Amino acid sequence: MRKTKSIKLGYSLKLALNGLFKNRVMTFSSVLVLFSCLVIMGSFLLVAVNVNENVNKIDGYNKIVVFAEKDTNDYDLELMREALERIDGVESVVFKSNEEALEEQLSEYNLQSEFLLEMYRDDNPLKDSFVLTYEPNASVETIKLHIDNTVDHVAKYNINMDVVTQINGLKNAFAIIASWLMILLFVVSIFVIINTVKLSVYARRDEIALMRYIGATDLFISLPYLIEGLIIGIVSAALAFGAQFLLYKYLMLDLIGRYDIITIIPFAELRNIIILGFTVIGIAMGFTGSIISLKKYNKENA
Amino acid sequence: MIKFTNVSKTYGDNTHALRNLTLEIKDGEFVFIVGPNGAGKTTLTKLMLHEELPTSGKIEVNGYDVVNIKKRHIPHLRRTVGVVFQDFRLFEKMTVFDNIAFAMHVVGTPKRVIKKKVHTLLKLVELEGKGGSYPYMLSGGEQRRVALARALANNPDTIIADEPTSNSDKNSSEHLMRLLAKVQEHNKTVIVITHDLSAVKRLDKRVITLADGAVISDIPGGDNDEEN
Ligand SMILES: Nc1ncnc2c1ncn2[C@@H]1O[C@H](COP(=O)(O)OP(=O)(O)OP(=O)(O)O)[C@@H](O)[C@H]1O
Ligand SMILES: [Mg+2]
Repeated sequence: MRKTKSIKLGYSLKLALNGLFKNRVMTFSSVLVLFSCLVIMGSFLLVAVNVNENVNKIDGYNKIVVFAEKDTNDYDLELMREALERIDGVESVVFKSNEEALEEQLSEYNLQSEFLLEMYRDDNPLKDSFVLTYEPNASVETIKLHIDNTVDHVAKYNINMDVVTQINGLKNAFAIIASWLMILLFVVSIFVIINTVKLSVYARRDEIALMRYIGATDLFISLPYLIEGLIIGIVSAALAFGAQFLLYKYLMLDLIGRYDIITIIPFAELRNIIILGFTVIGIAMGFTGSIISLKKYNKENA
Repeated sequence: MIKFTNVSKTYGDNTHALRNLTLEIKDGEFVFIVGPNGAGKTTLTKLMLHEELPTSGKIEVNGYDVVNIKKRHIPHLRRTVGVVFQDFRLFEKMTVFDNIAFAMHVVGTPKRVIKKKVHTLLKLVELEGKGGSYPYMLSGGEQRRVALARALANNPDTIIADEPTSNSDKNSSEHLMRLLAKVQEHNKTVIVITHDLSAVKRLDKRVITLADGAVISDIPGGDNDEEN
């Protein structure tokens, strides 16, 4: 039984390689398109994570400072914290008492004196506050709305709206362009793979008809074409990974990473996700192309 | 066993290829099916292989309920029936050996077994030593014997030969009929569709005559001469 299986696979693999080689122009096009697709997708992704990484460092971005009304008691402050933590998209809430704020300010002015601290202690002009950090994708407008409606004792809050809006606008534009480009490329890839596989199915149509008569299973008949798709997917993914590595190394790390203010995430940290993503998408695209092609063929020849 | 019970087949709206046909062929029988063009002979074989479905009626082939068969069992049904096509359908780019081996590859037979079996089959159809030839190097009669060897490759219970002797001279058609008779001796059911009445007469086997989609006569073997 085992032996039988391995021979079947060997035979299918041989036919698959044969088919790919016979239609090498189409095979090459398939690999090229899928490869471009993956590299473009990967590049967008890598740029996006790096942009995110750097944007999050910008002061005031994705942080909101909520000030409590003066003389809010501890119990109400605790209620405030709970209410703030409940808001969707809020990642963390850090309480800063007016004393801490005072110390901080004094130290900023190099006035680190116990004396001043003591002097203001009982008549602290500053307010207690909470520093909210929200998720990069959360909507600031919604969070604002929630603060206004569900949190009591709020004196005021600070959001650096300009920075937020601008950066979010850029992020959205980037995401939209990336998505459309990717969808377009995936459609083109699938289309090219379908036609590549179709050509090799067509080249062997007599054989396939006879195989059916003889009693070959559908799986056996389809296997070479599924393998063709698989090979196209894996080869494209492997090439795309190599290209992505080089692009990242030379363009991101060496060229852009030279500027100290920009942090570029080391490739090693992203390598696994890229490998996984490319392999899964490559194989999925290859298989999908083959399956659609076979379905179409079976329909036309049923 | 092959059993058609009240089988009708209508193509489109009004081409009645078979009309309420009932017939039974026992295991190990040799049967000729004759009849004019368009009588429904090829349709009969297509129905047996689940290549076409009947409009109504019941079909049983080698233990399979062909009409209600599960899709994944169709290949197994087909492995019990070997078909010799009128146009041979040999692969021009494969040697005789590979043409026969192909049928076994397709059902997952190990290489070692294939090699042995092909030699046995070539011997059976009297084409020893032709394994390395390509189909175009062979005469029409020889090609037909390759097709027969291939049909036998997976050890089917039934062999169907559709017009196996058309366009061939008397000698080669006699040769093929003799081989088919030999196949029957290996406990296989043999169904021969033909217009070649001389072959029919010579072999003295059961003869089913179809016309316009119905059985118009069914003469058992051995009684042939008396009833004519
Ligand atoms: N796929 C099809 N679609 C429509 N009509 C068909 C189809 N196949 C066969 N027919 C019709 O069904 C009838 C029986 O055809 P069939 O091929 O079974 O005859 P046959 O006995 O094999 O004839 P021949 O001796 O010419 O091979 C004919 O009228 C034919 O035109
Ligand atoms: Mg016919």
